[in-house]
Amino acid sequence: MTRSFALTGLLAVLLLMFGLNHQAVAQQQEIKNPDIRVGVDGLACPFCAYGIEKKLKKIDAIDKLYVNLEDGTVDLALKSEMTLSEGKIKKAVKEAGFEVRSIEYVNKAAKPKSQAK
Amino acid sequence: MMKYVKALRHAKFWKLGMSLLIIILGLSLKSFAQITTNNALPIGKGKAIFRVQNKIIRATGDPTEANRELLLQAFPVVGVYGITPRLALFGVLPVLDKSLTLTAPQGRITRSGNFGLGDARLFARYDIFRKSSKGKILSISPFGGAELPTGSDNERDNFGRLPQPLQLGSGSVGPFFGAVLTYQTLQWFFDAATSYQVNTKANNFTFGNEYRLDGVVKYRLFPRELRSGVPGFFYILLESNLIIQDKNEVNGVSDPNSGGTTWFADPGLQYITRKFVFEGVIQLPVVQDLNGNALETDFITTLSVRVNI
Repeated sequence: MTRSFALTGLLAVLLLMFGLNHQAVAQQQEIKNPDIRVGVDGLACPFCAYGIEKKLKKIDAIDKLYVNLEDGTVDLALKSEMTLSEGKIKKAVKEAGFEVRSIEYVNKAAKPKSQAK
Repeated sequence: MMKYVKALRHAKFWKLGMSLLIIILGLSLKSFAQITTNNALPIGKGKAIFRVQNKIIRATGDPTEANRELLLQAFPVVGVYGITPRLALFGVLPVLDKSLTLTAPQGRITRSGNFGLGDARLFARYDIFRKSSKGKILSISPFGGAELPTGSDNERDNFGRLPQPLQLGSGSVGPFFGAVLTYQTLQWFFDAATSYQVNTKANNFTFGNEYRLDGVVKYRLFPRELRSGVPGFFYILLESNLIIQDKNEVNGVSDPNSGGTTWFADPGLQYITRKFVFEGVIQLPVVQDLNGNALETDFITTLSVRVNI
């Protein structure tokens, strides 16, 4: 039994180290002036929140993001001069396993001209 | 050595002991990898989750002269990968360590095989229904797959070949299917899963087919009130596992001292962050209505760590 405990402990530690190093687990920082606020349905636990963070971070235009579980929202800050379409946001959210409830362009300049009415 | 083996083979309580061992191991080993929350693990496209667990099963209270004490330790490694937002692949590879201590004609002996890989389980889950709103999600997901004979099924110790249930692997393929319903809010989590596993024959031994009904209720204890951002959630939980197993077959003959119904209630705790989940439960038998004579499970403990990749 000792060898089982030893192996379990060793692998658990390795998994934790791998998890910590695989991608920065930096604490989120609230964005004071977000460019876009996305309402996301289905966000119900911290583990789920990481999935959507990971998907959205892959979008080049996004500089920072902030998930707020209580409101079910994700605030996005874009890189300078960048825009982001609703289509890209919806695709990323859907691939993460959630549904977009709303997309609010707090900074109108963040909306692509092709999408502006 | 042959003298010992011969003596063992002719000891009545030894035969009885082996029969009873088959029953309890047959029930326990098949349930190693089938934990309710594995079926319900949330996953998005291109995302992976790994989970390592440590499970300990103890069964004692043998009414026979053999006074058997069973101790099993399983170490399942679970991997989940999201193929699409709705389709996920699951793999469970257990490492097993089993031992049985009993009184034989030559005294107290312990039978155990190698510490090694058991039978792997591969399955897929598809969300056929999903309805979500702010802070809530409801999904219904059928799943299906098979237990594969990756574990050694010819382990031996000083007394000869180990009986089938003490082997690391069954040597057979066991297809299974089921469905899981999950409802989650920011405060509560419920899921209920049902599954059926068909066990096939190997080494002239067939484990009884198994039906399971698993459920869990979780309540967020901390933080009491949500604050901005993504705080860690600390849950108190209660799982339930109803396991109904058909009788085993040995050389094509149904074993009257095998199969039966077991119901466990499992209180536990869980701490969830964005990246990790730490959890522990203890499965306590509420009902054990086993056929014939069998050792009853004292408890099963599970400690687990999950990481979001």
